[in-house]
Amino acid sequence: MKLDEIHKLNFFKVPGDYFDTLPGRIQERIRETEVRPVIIQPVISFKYLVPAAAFALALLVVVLVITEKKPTPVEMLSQVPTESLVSYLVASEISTEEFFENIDLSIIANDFFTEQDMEIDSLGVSIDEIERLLLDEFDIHGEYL
Amino acid sequence: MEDREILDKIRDPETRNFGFNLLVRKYQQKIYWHIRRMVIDHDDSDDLVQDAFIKVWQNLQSFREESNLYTWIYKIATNECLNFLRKKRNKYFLPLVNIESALSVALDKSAHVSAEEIQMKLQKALLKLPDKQRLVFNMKYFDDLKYEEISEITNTSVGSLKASYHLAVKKIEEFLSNT
Repeated sequence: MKLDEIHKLNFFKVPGDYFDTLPGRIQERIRETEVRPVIIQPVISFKYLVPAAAFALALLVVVLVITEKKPTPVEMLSQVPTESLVSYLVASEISTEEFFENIDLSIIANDFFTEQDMEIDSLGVSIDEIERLLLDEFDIHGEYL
Repeated sequence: MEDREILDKIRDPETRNFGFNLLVRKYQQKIYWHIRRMVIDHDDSDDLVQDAFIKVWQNLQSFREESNLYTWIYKIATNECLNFLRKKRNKYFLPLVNIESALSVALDKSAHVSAEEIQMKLQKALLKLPDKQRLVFNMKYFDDLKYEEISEITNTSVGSLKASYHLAVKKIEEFLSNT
C-alpha cells in the first residue's frame, strides 16, 4: 500500500473550546511564574536541629582538646618582665667566667622559677628548652653578663 | 498579522501582553498538533504546548531575527517533545520498543481521535519509527514544512533529512502492506 493512497487528514481531535481558552491559560501561567515568591527552605528541619547542634558542640570540644598545646619557652618567658630576668641574674652570685665556663643553665632556670614561685614541671617545659631560650632569645651572655 | 508587527508589539512595554497573545493565537494550533503527533496524549500535549510558549515568552528578548519566528517557535516545541519522550523512557527504564507500545495503547484509549481505521493504522506505523525520524516525517508530511525549514529546526543537513524521510515512507508503506 502506498502512502499517497491515504487521505491526509488530522487524525487527532481536541475538546471543543480548547484553542479559545489556551492563550488565557498560558498567560495565567506566565503571571504565576513571574510573581511567585521565593521561599527559602531551611536546609535541615527543626527536628534534626537539636541533635545537629549537640553533635557540632561535641565535635568542637574534641577538636579543642586535641589541638591544645603546651606553652613554648618563648611564650612562657615572654610573660616575665625583662627587668625581673636581669635583676635576677645581676643579684645572683655568679661571675662571668663561671657563667661561661662552668655554668649549668638548668640551675639558673630552676632558681629563677623558684624565686618567681613557678613550678617548672607544671609548665611542661624542659630545662634544655629554657636554657636555649636564655641564650638565644634574650641574649643574656652578651649584653647583661 | 505579520510576525514583524507582532514582535514590535511585544517589544513595546505598553502592548507586550497583547502582542504575545496575538503570537499564541497565531501559532497555537500548529504547535499543538506538532506536539500532539509526537506525544499522542492530549493532556501531555496541553502541558507541553504551554511549557513551549512560556519558554518563547522568556526567551523573546534573545530571539535573533536572522531566523524565522515560526521556525524558532517550532524548534522550542520540538525540544520540549524530545525531552519529554526521553524523560518518559528514563523514568520507566523502558527500551525503545516499550515506549512505542505505551504510545500505541494511549492511541487506542484516546477519546479524541478519528474513527477511520486506516488512519489508526498509519499512526501505529508512525510509532514504529525512531523519535527523530517520526519528527521529520510529521513535519514534512503533515505540516508541509520545507526541508530547509526542518533543517533549521533540527540542525540537520537537508541531505540527511531527505534520506530520513524517504526511509520513513518505505517503512510505513511496508507496515501498512503487511497488516
